[in-house]
Amino acid sequence: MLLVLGSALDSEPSRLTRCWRRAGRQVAIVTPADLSRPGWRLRCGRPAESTAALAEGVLAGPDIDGIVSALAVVGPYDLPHIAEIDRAYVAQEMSAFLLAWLSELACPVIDRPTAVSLAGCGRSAFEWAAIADQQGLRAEPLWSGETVGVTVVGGRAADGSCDGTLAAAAATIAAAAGRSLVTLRFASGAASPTLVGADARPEVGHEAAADALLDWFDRQ
Amino acid sequence: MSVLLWGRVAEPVIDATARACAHLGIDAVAADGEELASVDLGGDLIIRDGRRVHLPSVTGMLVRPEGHVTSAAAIAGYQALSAWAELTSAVVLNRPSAAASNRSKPYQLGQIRAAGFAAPDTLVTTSPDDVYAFWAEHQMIVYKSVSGVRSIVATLGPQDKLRLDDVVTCPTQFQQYIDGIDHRDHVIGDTVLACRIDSTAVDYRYPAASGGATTTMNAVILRDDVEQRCRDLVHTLGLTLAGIDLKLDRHGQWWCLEVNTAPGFIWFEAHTGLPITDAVAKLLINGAAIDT
Repeated sequence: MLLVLGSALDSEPSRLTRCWRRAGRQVAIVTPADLSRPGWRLRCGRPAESTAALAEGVLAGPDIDGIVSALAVVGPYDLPHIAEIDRAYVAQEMSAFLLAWLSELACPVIDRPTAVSLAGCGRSAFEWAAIADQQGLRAEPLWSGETVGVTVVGGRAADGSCDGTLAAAAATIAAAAGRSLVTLRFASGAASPTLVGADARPEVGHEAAADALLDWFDRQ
Repeated sequence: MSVLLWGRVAEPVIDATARACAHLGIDAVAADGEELASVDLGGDLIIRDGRRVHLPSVTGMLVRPEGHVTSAAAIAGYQALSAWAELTSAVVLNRPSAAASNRSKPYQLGQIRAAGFAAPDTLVTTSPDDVYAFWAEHQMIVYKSVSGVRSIVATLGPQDKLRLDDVVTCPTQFQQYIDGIDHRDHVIGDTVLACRIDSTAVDYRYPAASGGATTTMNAVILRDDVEQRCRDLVHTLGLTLAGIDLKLDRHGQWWCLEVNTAPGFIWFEAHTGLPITDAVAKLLINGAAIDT
């Protein structure tokens, strides 16, 4: 089974699961509230003993075929079922658990979390600008105007209809950053691709991204 | 040449480091929170009281921010200074991305094992049955926070059975109890300064929580191979300054429990006389960090 990790407040993860179900895949969404179900387990150094507790039941680690992480962090706002006074602490505990759990699983995870983001990466706009600069591309980390997003999956811009120069620039930057899944933001109307930064959560809910992600998992 | 201390002026580590730098002839600049007026990554950090730090001239920065930022200028300053800390070639104790490893103790344990240290068997679970099985396997286990939020480490006892059902609400961490002598090992660049902690408390930081237990500390020199393993671990984590919590069991096995990436080393220095602040100040001034 494929798992999509995301916030219940974000429509992208549920749109992705609907796309994948239409494609005939077994998929379940995991939201922070699911971490308040009995059945989650991480035994450090023993990934085969990891389990996930879903609405559908408890899933053993080896039965997870792959995970898309579209959740940067668990926030207190994700946990309305927790007493308000405890929400901030529980959110930190759940984030910490997911960081370790996602890092230990043997199955493919796009993208593996880092210590600063459960969706992988977590660089600031200034750090993205430094990467663009190293690739000879323009960047405006303080840009405040309109932007256009380009989601890169597995080395290619997922949306084939986006401008070719922009798609190539996005693929170059994602590769330089070592990201398999990222939504990069470029300044709208710039004469040449001008990187503004990256979304904290990748845009995974449109058909093209869903197809590209399935293709990525099938190639693992 | 200048040294930047990102933190509250009166915070003990910031204050002691500033004084150590002054003793070595360098005026370190300390600032935090709303004091950050503006940051030009290729130019100056401007502090609200008018002080300026020319960032290209900074040899080292100690990172311990704790002030809340609410104004747009301070938020922008915080973000820019965080980025500078990641990108600069100056010594940074520590880069924020590397320091973040102890936001998750089980995540960090994976890196500790990869560096060659023994680490306690660890379970994080939302199932009371898992806890009972783990408890039966190890006989004596402790529980502690999963995240970097400070918690008092305590052994699980019969009185806790009544509240074990609460683990279904949030993943909770349990760990094999390691019976041994605590050691705290500070790594500053390539310098290793260690102390032995003799305590009758489960968590030596909180002797009162163990019914008035006693704690004493003494400086020690670790075996060369253990020292080197500590340096390797710190390097693996991308750190330049760390406080490593070790335990030596009665079989001579060294266990690593945790790596503190923003160690409050003043307490250990006060009890042992180890020259930790001096080593930190020299590293910040001389800029001789290990390559991260």
